[in-house]
Parts: sequence; C-alpha cells; structure tokens
Amino acid sequence: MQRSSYKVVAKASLSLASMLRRRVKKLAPNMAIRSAGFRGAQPNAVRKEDLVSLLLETTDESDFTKVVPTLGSNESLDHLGENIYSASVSLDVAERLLKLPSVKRLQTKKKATLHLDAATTDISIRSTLSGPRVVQETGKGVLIGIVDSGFDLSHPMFRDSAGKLRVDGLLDQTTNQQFTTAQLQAQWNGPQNPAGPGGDDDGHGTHVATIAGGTKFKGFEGVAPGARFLLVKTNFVDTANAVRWVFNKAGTKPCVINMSLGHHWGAHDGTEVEERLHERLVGRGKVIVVSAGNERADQIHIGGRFVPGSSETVGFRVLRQPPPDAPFAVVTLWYSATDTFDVELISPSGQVMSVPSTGNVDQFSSSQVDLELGRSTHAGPTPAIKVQMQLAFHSAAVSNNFLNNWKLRIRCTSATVGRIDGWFNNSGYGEFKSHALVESARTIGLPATGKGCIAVASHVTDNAWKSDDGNEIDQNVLIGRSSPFSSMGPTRDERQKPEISAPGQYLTSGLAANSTSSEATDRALNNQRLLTIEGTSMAAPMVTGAVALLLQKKRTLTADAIRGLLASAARVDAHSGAVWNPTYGFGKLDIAKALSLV
Amino acid sequence: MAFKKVTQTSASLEPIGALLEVLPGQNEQALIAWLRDHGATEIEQLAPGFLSVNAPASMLRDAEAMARVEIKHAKIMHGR
Repeated sequence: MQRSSYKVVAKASLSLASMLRRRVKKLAPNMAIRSAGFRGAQPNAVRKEDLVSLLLETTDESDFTKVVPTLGSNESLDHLGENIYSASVSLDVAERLLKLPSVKRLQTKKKATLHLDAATTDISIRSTLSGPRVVQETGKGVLIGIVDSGFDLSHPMFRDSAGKLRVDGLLDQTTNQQFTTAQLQAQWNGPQNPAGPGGDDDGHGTHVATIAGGTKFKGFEGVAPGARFLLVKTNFVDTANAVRWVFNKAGTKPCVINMSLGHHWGAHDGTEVEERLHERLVGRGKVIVVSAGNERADQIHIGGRFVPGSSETVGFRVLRQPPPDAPFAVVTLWYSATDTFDVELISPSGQVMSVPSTGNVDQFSSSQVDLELGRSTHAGPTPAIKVQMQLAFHSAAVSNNFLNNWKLRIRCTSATVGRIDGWFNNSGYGEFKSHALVESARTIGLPATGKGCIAVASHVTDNAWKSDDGNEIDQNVLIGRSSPFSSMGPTRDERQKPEISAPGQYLTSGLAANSTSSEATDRALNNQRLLTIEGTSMAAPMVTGAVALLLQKKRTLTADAIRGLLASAARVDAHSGAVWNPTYGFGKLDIAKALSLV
Repeated sequence: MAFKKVTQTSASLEPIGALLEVLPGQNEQALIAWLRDHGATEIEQLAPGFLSVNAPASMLRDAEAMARVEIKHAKIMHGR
C-alpha cells in the first residue's frame, strides 16, 4: 500500500477535501463526460448525479450574498438561517465557494444514522444511547405540572408498571371540570383518545408531558419517570389560573410546572401581571419552566436605537389565517417614558394615520379593515410607553396587495434612552419586511421573559427518525448547534434569558392517538404510539424533568437556587461558547453535573 | 381605499378575562367587593394581590384606579 499526502483547506471538511482531491487526481466518470463537453444544448445544466450536498457557513452573510457564483439549472443554494446555507452544487462550484473569503466552513452533509434517543445522552442521563440511566434520581416524590393541549391518558407512558395512571389530578379549562386519579382511571380504560377527560386533539400536550416524565416505552423514557403528574388541558388564555391550580393541588409537595407556550403582546421586560404572578408563586420547592419560543427567524420583531430627528420606515405584511378566519394582527411598540417618538401607520394606498398622544385611542375604518391606534403608559420599575396598532380585516377575501404593503414610520423626537422595540402579537399573524431594524435577538416570548421562570432554548441532538412514511432525515440541521427557530434573548430590559438550552430538535416521545399529530405520517409512528417533533416546546420539558430530579434530591431547593445550579452545571462547547449568550443562555443542560452540585 | 376616522364606539358589555394586580396602598378585599358589586364574575385570588376576573371593558377601565389591569392574551404552542 503506497502512502500519499495532500493538503486540506482548513475550512473544508475532510470528506469534501477528499472529494475535491479525487476529482483533481482523476476525474470521476460522470465528471469526465462533462469535461469532454457531452452536455448537449444545456452547457450550464449539471446532472443531478454530479451534484454534492453541502452545508455552508459564512462569516458575513451580506458579504457572501454579493459574491455567490452563478449556479447551473439543477444547482441550488438555500438559506437555512444564522449564516448557514444548504447547497446542492457541482464540485466546480464547491471549489469556487471554498475560495470565497466570506465562506467560513464547507462540509458534506452526512448520511444520518437513526438514533433512538440521543437527547438523553446529550443531557447526561445516559452515557450511551442504549445504556442504563447514570443518575439515581427518577423524580420520585415530585409533581410535574403540565399546562398544554390535553393528554392521551391511554398511553402507557402515563402509567406505571401495573398499568395505573401516574396522574394526581387533571383540570380541563375547556370544560371547566376537574378530575381525580380515580375518575381518570375509571374513564381512561382503553385506547380511546380523545374521548377521555382532558383528551388531546392536537398531540402537543401528550408529547410534552411524556418527554418530562413518561414511563419507559419502546426504548423511550421521560427525564423523570418516577414523578407524578398534575395536568391542565388549557384554553391557552387562562394559563395564570392553571399555574395557580397546579401549585394549590401540590400543596407542600415539591412541584415543577412546564409551559411550552407563549405570546408577544407584552413589554418583554418581566412586568406583565402574569409574569409577576409567577414571581410570587415560585419559591421553595415550586418552580416554573417556560419554552423560549420558536420565533427567531419569523421576522416578528424590530428594535434599535434612535437619535432625536432620526426616522425609519419599515414595511410589513399581515398574514392570512386558516379559513374562515379573517386576517388579524397587532403590533405593539415599547420605548422609555423618558423618550418621545412619533409613530405613523401607512396604508397600502399611502394614507398616513398617526398614533395619538399618550392616553388616547383613534379608530379608523375602511370597507375592508378596521384599525385601532393607541398609546398608553406602562407601569414598572422603568416606566415605558406602549404604542398599539391593531388591524382587524373584515373577511378572509382580501387581496394579497392589501395585506402585503403596510408600513410603519417611526421618528424619534427626543431621547435619553432612544431605543424602541416592536413585536407582532405572535408568530403567524404578521411579519416585518427586510430592514436593518428587524432583529432575531429579543424574540423570546412571554411569559418566558418573566423573572420567576426558567426560560429554555432548543438545540439539535437528532436529525433522523422513523415515521409511518419510513426513515426520515433532516439534512439541513447541524447536530450540536442551536435550532434555527429557537427564540433568542435578552429581554427588552437586557436580562439574561434564556437561561439554558436543551434538546428540542428532534425529539421522539408519546403520540396521542386520533390527534392532529397522528395524521402527520412523516412524524408519527402510529402503530408504535410514538411521535417525533421539534420546538422549544420539546426542550422545556427536558429541563422540567431535570428540575424534578433536583427536587427529589433536595425538596427545599428554591427556584433561584435551581436556576443557579442549572447555569453552573451547563455544558459549554464550541457552539454554545463559555459565557451567557442570547442563543444558548449559560449553555446546554447537564443533569448529572447539576445533581452532583446539590 | 380611504380610511375614515371614526368616533370611539361605546365599550362592549361582553365580559373579558383579565388579570389584576392590586396597586400599592389599595385594599384587596375592597377591590374584590367592588368587582362583585359591579357584576364581575369568576373572581379568583391567584395569590395575595393578584386576581383573575371576567368583566366588561368599561368596568376594567374603572378598576385601573385600584389595580394594574391586563387582558389575558391567547398563547400559542411552541412545538412544530
């Protein structure tokens, strides 16, 4: 065997370097044909079999977009977010990309292997994928409260080895009914979801709850399988009441509540009444965990500093709602009460409507939409001014032109702070068009911005799963990196949120039978009663389960102490960085280390 | 398409779910009694100083003299 060496360009992965090397040394047959000019009438058309699939990371996105090579008709370059592109290009183009100064890293997409449960090794509950748990705690003696879409209590992950429910009570806010363990046991006596009390039409709540505390099932196990549940099927409005109900039911027992939900109506500074309520309710043995949100790339936030006299105009579009609902969106803007801003809404036809002075609301109406523009003061440690603009369309039958061409003009007239931030009420209602003020930062939602809760971001631990459609692979995500959707901090008042990142992409756990999720054949494995989905919704219950283990070890730990333990024990790596940052918080969840610090 | 500025319509009598945080110096029991007397429903004390109520917008505006009042907003799930 003869040894030969060649130099590898530092920013190319070894596999890509090898491919490029092979091509230079000896053309692969299909490339040889191309070189000989056998391309017919389409000299720029690269054959699909000649393409390589790559992930590309740029140093500076704006520099990169100016120098992208011309692509052939079969080649593609797709922006995945956060300086990452997916490329399907010829080796010629790959080589040219590699020479661009703005390309930081180019690597081939790896063929994924099916991981059963990489998340549990990532958070150090197991040292190997198929190995036993390496932590003694199971959450025994601790209550896990889940506020979510409902629960398929026929699923074995909610039951102990004797088939008995591990649920101490359930509140259904959609019917305003409560159920005891005995009532639930009697009425959930078969695979009948969603017919039983608190059933799960959506599938989200079942998945979230079983991640936090599901009994081992088909190789998958929740983080705290020894804990018991207090469950709230919420109406997604009365979540404050849900939290109160869970802590009331828990009494003196240690209890951690998971909320994988949120919104963007508020000041994003921890001063909303619901957030202040959470502050009041948490304490010794009482903890609340909230998902950060999935809005990083949704263009729902603008923010920036202004000097007196400066002005910016930002375009936005209102998004359609599922029929028959009419489009509806609310934009709120927040700035220091020591500053003054003029704000105007400009309609697609160019009509300018000014937001009135503080304490006033103006209403405007046309044949297609009602507008409400108001300004008010917002109490808090640092008083703020809130501007609210509501657009309520009369029907779903509205033209794209009329939805897509709204503008917001902001002019600073005096400033001591000078910063203004604005959000759509939530993802899916409206989005700002590209503009320097559009930020991925400060997309963390409420109540995750609250001072009383632990806010959780998501990172990638798996890119392959099994579904009814077969083996699924998402080659566009990088294992170990932050999920491209995971909302970022800090809060509007610059507090460090999220606190921690946990596996949220992709997670396999319990599937609610006969739910919307069970109809997603690329995500559901119906005959195994398993579902694979993604989101900070899935990351939050990993932390919730971890908190249950900590509370088992020491039931008097306060919410602040647990926040400190998770931060101190957080695993840092090349992705997360060594200090708090708005993407990963203090780092990645490390349960074994956190337990060792108690 | 021209927009016409319209006069503020009278506030709806439809009850709205809201969270109230009693302002410093105000008496919580007096606020609860006031809410009850004025027809608010589903009054629930969530913690000392924090109430959940259903009441018409006009009543909630009046309650702002005694408490911070916030409409309960709809949330969305963070799974996909």
